[in-house]
Amino acid sequence: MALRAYEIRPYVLGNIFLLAELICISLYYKRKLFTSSPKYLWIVACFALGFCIHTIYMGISNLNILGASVLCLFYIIHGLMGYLKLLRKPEELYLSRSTLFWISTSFFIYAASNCLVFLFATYLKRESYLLFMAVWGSFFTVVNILHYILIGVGLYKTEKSGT
Amino acid sequence: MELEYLIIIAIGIMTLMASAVIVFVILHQRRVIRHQLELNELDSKKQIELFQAAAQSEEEERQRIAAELHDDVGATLSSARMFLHQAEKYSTSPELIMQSGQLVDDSIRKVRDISHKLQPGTLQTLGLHTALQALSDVYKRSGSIQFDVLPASNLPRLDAHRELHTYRIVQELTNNILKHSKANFIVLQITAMSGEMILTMQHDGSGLNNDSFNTLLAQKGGIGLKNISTRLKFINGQIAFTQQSANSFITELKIPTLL
Repeated sequence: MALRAYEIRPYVLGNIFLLAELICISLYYKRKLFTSSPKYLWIVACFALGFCIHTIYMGISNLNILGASVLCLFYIIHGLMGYLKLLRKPEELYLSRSTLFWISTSFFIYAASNCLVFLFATYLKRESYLLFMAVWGSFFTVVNILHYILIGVGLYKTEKSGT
Repeated sequence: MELEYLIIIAIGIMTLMASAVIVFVILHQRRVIRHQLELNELDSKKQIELFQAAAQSEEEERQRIAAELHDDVGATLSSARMFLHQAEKYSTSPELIMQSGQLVDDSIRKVRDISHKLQPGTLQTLGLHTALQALSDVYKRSGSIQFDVLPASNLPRLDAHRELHTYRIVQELTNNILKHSKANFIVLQITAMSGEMILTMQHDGSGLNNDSFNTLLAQKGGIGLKNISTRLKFINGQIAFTQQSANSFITELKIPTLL
């Protein structure tokens, strides 16, 4: 109601959220994986710009679900690279103590599970609203809860280990 | 099958694949940890074997030198002392011969002490307490420090290796106290309780605490301390350093009596 009062559509906020999420995650992985790679920030900037252009093209008041699924692929790659770094790092033996493991797991499982959900959301909504609600209302919510729990564990480990 | 259901199946497969990747990472890392632990265990076994071999050859060498000193140099000096005693009767200047005799006596005593320090003969026959008492007598005779071993009763015998390592550790600790602490006395108490032999060394010099011991251990050099640490590891012993007051330091050794 408050959003309606200010004439802001929730999907506008959704698009802003997706963009902010991309920036925050990229900054985290820049610090963890790409510390000595200046090209990384340019790639992220290109992604962000592409996402903004596509959002404007689709109409800012619609949720950019195609952009969201592309961002999911971006997070899947980050998660896998996080794992690769952990496996190659001999001093990081105990995964449960590593922030990178928990955060990578969180984004990897979230992105891998929701990539297709985002991609086919419009189609499902149009063809079978009940099925769409089942996927969006239960599956997506459960994965999202798991995603934030894992992030929470990762943040807790950061405080403990200082890494 | 309708496309909607195919999409749902694809979403399920993606989630399962992601879970499989996570499980693979966890299992792989567990395998790496197991492998690392095995390597560490092997490394530590190898180190113990090396130390065992080095300690054994060191003891054999000590034994050989002690035997040479006692049987050869000691015997020669005793003969010289006997001849000097004879010469004293016929000499025109008996003072000189008496002085020479005293020097030879001193040498005999020193050779005996060195021989005892190198190879404690009493250790094997009479046990750790008596051997440490004999060691304290050597230090007392040299006049370098007042070293007392308090009487103890009903002490269990350790196996030969443990007794020898414990003896060497006390010897090294005493040498360190003499070299670095400027102490006037050392009191050693040996007790046994609940499967452990506890040796408490108290002295009035400047000493170590657990932190400084660990720091010195981590530094380069400090061979004596490293030897103590390795010997303790070898016999599963523990060492603790505490400061009671400004001039009172306690070193406590705990040696398990049972294997």
